Amino acid sequence: MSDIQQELLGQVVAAQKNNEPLALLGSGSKRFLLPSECDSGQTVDLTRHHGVVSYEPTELVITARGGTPLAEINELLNEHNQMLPFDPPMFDGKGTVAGAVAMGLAGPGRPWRGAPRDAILGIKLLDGEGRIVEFGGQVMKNVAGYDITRLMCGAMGTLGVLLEVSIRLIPKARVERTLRTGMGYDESRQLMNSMRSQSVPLTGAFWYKDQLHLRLSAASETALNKLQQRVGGEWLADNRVWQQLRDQQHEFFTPADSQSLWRISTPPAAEVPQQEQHLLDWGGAQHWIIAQGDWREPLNAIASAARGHAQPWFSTPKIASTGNEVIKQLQVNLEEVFNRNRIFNPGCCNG
Amino acid sequence: MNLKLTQRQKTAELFRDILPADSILSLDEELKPYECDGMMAHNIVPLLVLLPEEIDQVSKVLRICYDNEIPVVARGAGTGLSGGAIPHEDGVILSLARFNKILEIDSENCTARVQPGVRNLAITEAAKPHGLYYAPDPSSQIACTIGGNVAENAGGVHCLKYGLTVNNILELTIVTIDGETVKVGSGALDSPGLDLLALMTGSEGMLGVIIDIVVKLLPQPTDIIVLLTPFDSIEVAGNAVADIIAAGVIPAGLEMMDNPSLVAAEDFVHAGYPTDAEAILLCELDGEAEDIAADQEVVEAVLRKAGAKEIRVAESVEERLKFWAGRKAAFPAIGRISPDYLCMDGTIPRKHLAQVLKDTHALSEHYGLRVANVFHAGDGNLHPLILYNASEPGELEKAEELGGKILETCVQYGGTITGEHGVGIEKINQMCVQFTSDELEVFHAVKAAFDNKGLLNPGKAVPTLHRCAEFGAMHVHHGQLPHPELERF
Ligand SMILES: Cc1cc2nc3c(=O)[nH]c(=O)nc-3n(C[C@H](O)[C@H](O)[C@H](O)COP(=O)(O)OP(=O)(O)OC[C@H]3O[C@@H](n4cnc5c(N)ncnc54)[C@H](O)[C@@H]3O)c2cc1C
Ligand SMILES: Cc1cc2nc3c(=O)[nH]c(=O)nc-3n(C[C@H](O)[C@H](O)[C@H](O)COP(=O)(O)OP(=O)(O)OC[C@H]3O[C@@H](n4cnc5c(N)ncnc54)[C@H](O)[C@@H]3O)c2cc1C
Repeated sequence: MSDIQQELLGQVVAAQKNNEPLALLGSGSKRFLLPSECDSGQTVDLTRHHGVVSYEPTELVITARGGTPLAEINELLNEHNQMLPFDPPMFDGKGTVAGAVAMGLAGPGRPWRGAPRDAILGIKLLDGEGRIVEFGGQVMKNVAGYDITRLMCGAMGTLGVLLEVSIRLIPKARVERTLRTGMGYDESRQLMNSMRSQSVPLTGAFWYKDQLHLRLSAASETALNKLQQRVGGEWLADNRVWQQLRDQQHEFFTPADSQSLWRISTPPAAEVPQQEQHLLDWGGAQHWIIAQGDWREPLNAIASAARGHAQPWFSTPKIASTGNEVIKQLQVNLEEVFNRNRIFNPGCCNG
Repeated sequence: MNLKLTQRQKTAELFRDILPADSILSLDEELKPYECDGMMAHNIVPLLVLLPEEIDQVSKVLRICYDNEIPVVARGAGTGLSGGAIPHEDGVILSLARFNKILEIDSENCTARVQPGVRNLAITEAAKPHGLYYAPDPSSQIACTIGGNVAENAGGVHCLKYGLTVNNILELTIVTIDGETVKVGSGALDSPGLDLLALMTGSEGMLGVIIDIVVKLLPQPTDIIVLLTPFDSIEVAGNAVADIIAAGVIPAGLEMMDNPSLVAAEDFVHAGYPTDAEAILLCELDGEAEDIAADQEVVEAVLRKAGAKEIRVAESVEERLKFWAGRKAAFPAIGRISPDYLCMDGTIPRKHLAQVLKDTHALSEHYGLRVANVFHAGDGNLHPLILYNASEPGELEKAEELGGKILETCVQYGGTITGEHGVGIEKINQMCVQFTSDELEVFHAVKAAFDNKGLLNPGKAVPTLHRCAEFGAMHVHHGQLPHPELERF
């Protein structure tokens, strides 16, 4: 536990006064992947603002300081059979809770259990004016004032320092098992499409190398067995594969030096032609592709044909690349509210 | 009066080139239905009502308002309970009523593209042949529009498990105050840039006009059961709610009604409620039959341990719908037993349910006004209904003061003044209690980022700092009582 709110406040006030930018850093697992100018400015180590502020299992809410490692939070929640609904990647195990919120990161359960934006209930924010402000709270429903809380999800630290976040939790499923079945890309997509409109206890579905993995979570074994009878396949001994997938430790995520890793996010039933090195996650909505050379053009074309967007992993573009001038202006205006003079992560900003 | 007439005619002229005559309402009797929304205690005659039918017309209307500095209040069905759609006396009402088409049902992606004036229930009806439905189901769902739902981030009895409006929409098309049309969000599960989709949701018509919505549809559950449990003490029922959630079950719905509201509902729709109960709890479980059975076992054990003597399971679909019909008709049912009522909307941490109900009861006695309680118990979202008679001089003011006190109590217990109905004009003073002046300043700045002239729904949702100073409220820090040592009520 350590609380450096006052120290951070001092740093921000000084930065604003001297117009000297700050690079907000969680555990820094993203360092090498954001555009280098994102890191320009004096580094602020937010892992020192750390610790669970309150956790009441019966209320299904946790409040933690931004720099608290996800691993620490998960360990605590495990003890009470609860979990962060969006199950964010921890990568090397060091990721922080505010880092996951700031990047909008969600694990394989995303289509069924939501993203940070769906689970976040409240924040304490230190903005560019040196204001410490709180929005949302710890209750499930709250529509008082604009939804600044959700606006912070995926904002990549361009709208201020997340001092604390409150997150809604879910109980872990009483039974959770993994079914693996041999199936081609097209057939897998069809099956995932048909299951989407049916009430089945699915919380994960990914395809790789002609195998479809389904994660089933339920209150009873019977419900799981029913699905196996329908889909076929075999039960795996454990559910480790989902953690490997989430943290990119799965064998797929090892591009050679000359290759690059791409992510294409699309509507779940959108048609994306099968690629040579291809992993399809999120029940059809998230494609991971390993590409040779400069595949930017072709992958962007595939993504836009599928009404989605492509993103090179290991190098996140600026916060906005929607290309729409009106949206861009709105984002600049919002940066002006929370990040005047772009003292936070200037390279990530629009303005 | 004459001045107003001239102003009305001059303003109407501005829109004649872009709207057909029947899209511009300016006669007294035409304006009458738009004077108030579901809050009803306050009426204002708008300058004009405009009813465009095409996006291009909306865009031009807004541009004209922008250039001529005319306030604009967007309006769906006018069922809002916080006065969000109450007109501005010098402004136009922009009604979205004619945007009432369901444009597409995409059964593979499980989405629907709809216009803002489509009624909430109409989406579920259109999705039904595909085995799908739209989850957020406000009790007003037969009348309220999806555009209004987005603007208020509406909830309903199934939000405990399936989320609010914000969790069930994917993409919005908005028209900005200067007439630009833009899309936020996308059919994919994430999109680049800031989450403006979330910011627009619940923004009460203050940031832009919502003109097209892509909603998420869910598969209809295979099975549904509803348990009705009577309790002889409202506190015991409140504690049972917290215990169910703590036991690891998230019901599809978990609703509570106290004796006055269940009696009123029973008299109104004959739902089969036990009228001698102090409170009833309705608990819906959905999913696969086997899963439901497993959850039901847990829930029944918790209920019995909490003190339930009887647990009734709806025997048929008809009975299940009847159980819900009583809950969904609770507001109009209260409307039958009292000349007027105010509906509050505070949310609190579940663990304080019993205590806040006690405090509300004490306040009700203190003010000498009856309060009936109906609420989304699983979410901790309370709807105390304050019964009063507007024709008694001073009683509305007394009811509003009592309502304000109830909301302040919610804030003191770590809750919020509104869970789903919005601030509008109704709770604008209590915003001063919930937020600091820094926080209110942030809200004003966000508003200005979208609407630099302050023309969209002016005066609603966020109080000026000046107003807060006049109201004289003390900001209550979330969950910390100003004087914890003092006994409360
Ligand atoms: C090999 C690898 C590749 C990756 N590639 C990508 C990629 O291409 N695209 C992608 O989106 N993600 C990528 N990630 C994931 C992601 O960038 C980080 O790993 C994740 O954010 C972990 O968070 P952290 O706590 O380490 O935060 P950091 O990595 O330190 O920071 C992440 C972001 O959050 C902001 N931030 C951190 N703490 C706060 C706070 N308290 N308040 C406000 N802002 C804060 C930072 O400014 C930064 O913008 C990758 C991860 C790994 C390991
Ligand atoms: C009997 C009854 C029961 C209710 N039960 C519930 C409930 O269970 N849960 C719940 O959440 N609410 C409930 N409500 C409140 C109300 O129905 C909701 O707030 C609903 O979302 C309002 O929709 P509307 O179309 O009537 O909007 P209106 O009342 O017309 O407008 C509401 C607000 O939204 C803005 N707005 C409307 N359309 C647009 C648009 N297209 N673009 C931008 N802004 C717009 C308006 O300016 C206004 O600020 C209930 C109301 C009644 C009368």
